[in-house]
Amino acid sequence: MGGEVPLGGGTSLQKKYGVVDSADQVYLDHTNHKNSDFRYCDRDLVRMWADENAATFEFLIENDVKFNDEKPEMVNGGSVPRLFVAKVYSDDLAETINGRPGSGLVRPLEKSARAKSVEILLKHKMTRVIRENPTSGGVLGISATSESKTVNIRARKGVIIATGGHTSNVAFRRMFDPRLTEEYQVVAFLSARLGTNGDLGRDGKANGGGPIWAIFDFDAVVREKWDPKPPNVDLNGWFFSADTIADLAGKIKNPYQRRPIPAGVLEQTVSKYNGFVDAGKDSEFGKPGPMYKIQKPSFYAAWSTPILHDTLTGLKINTKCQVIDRNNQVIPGLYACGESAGGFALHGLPRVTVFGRVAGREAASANAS
Amino acid sequence: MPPKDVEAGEHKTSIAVWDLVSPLVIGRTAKMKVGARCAAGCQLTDHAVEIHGAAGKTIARTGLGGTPWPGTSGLYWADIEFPAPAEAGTHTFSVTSEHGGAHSEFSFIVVRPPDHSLTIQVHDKTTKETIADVEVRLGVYRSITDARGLATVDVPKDSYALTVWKLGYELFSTEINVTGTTTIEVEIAVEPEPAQPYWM
Repeated sequence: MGGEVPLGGGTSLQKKYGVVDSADQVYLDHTNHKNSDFRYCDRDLVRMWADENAATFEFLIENDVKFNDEKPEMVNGGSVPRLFVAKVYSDDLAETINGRPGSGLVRPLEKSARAKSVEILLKHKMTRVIRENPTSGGVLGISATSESKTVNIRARKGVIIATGGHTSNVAFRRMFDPRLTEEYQVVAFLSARLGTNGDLGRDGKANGGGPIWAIFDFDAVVREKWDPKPPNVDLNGWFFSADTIADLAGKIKNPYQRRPIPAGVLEQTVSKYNGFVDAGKDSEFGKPGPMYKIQKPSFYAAWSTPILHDTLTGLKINTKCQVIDRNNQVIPGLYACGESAGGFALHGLPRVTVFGRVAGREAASANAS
Repeated sequence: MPPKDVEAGEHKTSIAVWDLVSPLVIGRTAKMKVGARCAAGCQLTDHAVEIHGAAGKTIARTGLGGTPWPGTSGLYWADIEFPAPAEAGTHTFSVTSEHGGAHSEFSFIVVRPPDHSLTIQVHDKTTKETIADVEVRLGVYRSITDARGLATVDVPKDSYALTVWKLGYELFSTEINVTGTTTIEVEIAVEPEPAQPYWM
């Protein structure tokens, strides 16, 4: 996480810097038709989110999240500055994995939760939500596995689904877009997302858009001041080099490269591109001003396949973050927030912090079952 | 000589062609480098490579050198020269290697001899300072500005689309009519920061 928290509506830090904002203005900015993502949002959820913006920001501060004391920036098509960045929690690598500002959000919240006697179960994987009846009734708790054992955990007040988006679930995401086969990996989890997950295509290999390789030459390495050696590149199937373009084609071997790249095809492709450089015009894709040929040995191929970022859809919820079933009825005791919840196609921390806080509050205020 | 225990079919050889300065000029000699690599790891010193014109006629021949191109595992190479075609336009020639029967094609553009030199001096629109490493393109001609912000191209008398660009600057483009040797001044503006930073 980058730790950038664009919450507004009149937060204390906005006021400190003389920014005049309101929940109404937040709502207007996030229902602006110019942002295509916002056109399909649930307006009730956007309204609730706007109303809870400032309170959520203050909640973060109350729980010891510290922000850089800098003038906020404009963000996300908004009409007033709202972007504040959390301070890195610690420069001590023993405490902080990578020193990114996201640690300044997560670590204080974790510390605060533990201080309030919240028990965090690591190495537990939720596998099932238990209802009174298999497909009806209130939610009683969850099943989880831990070190090959199954444990059932009863919910005193409710279960909050906050497990993140579904970009990592290849089968599920392909229901929405069948092109999103397994070679499209997930941001920040490149090396962790390599396993074949079910029958996704011919021979269990990718059949979507296919891998994309960036092909470049030694001149590009010099020009861009790259150092194409480990650890900058991964030679285990993600980066290749060769003396000639034809040899390079033969070297590209990767689990998602369903069939080898024919040497002649890659030679023709590079030759065609070099022709565009000579002519000063890319007549195939319209790349502006192609300047540099791919011609000087050595030649390189680098994995350049797009990754999936965040999830803008999820379980249907109401303004109390209660999950709604297919019959448009509340599932008692079940809540969802963050990227697990749908209805508000907004990227990042403002969505997850507000809905997470509301889900927790509403679940805590529910009658114990 | 090939290493022992290598079957004949394993001598698959591939070719690279580089450092051909484009465009070529009618009536002048073109220079480039050509390299060949045998998959079996053969030393290709003195093995012949040939350039063939559009009709397949051999127009240049040379022997490969004694050491592989720096940074490669076994690309034996040589400088080679050949006469540029007598007709302007795009041409495709081929290169063959006697070892492994390798064949590869390369294309290039041939132009009329230049009449004039056009020098482009590039400045920052705000600071007025000269800018180095700016990409300058004039039709099929291209160059990069030096430390003084100067780039020179030799071109025939004609009209050209001039584009000037460097990473971090806005693309500058204009039409220019070259009627004599001259220097033109171009100002390019720093690309503004996005008004809405991406965040996560």
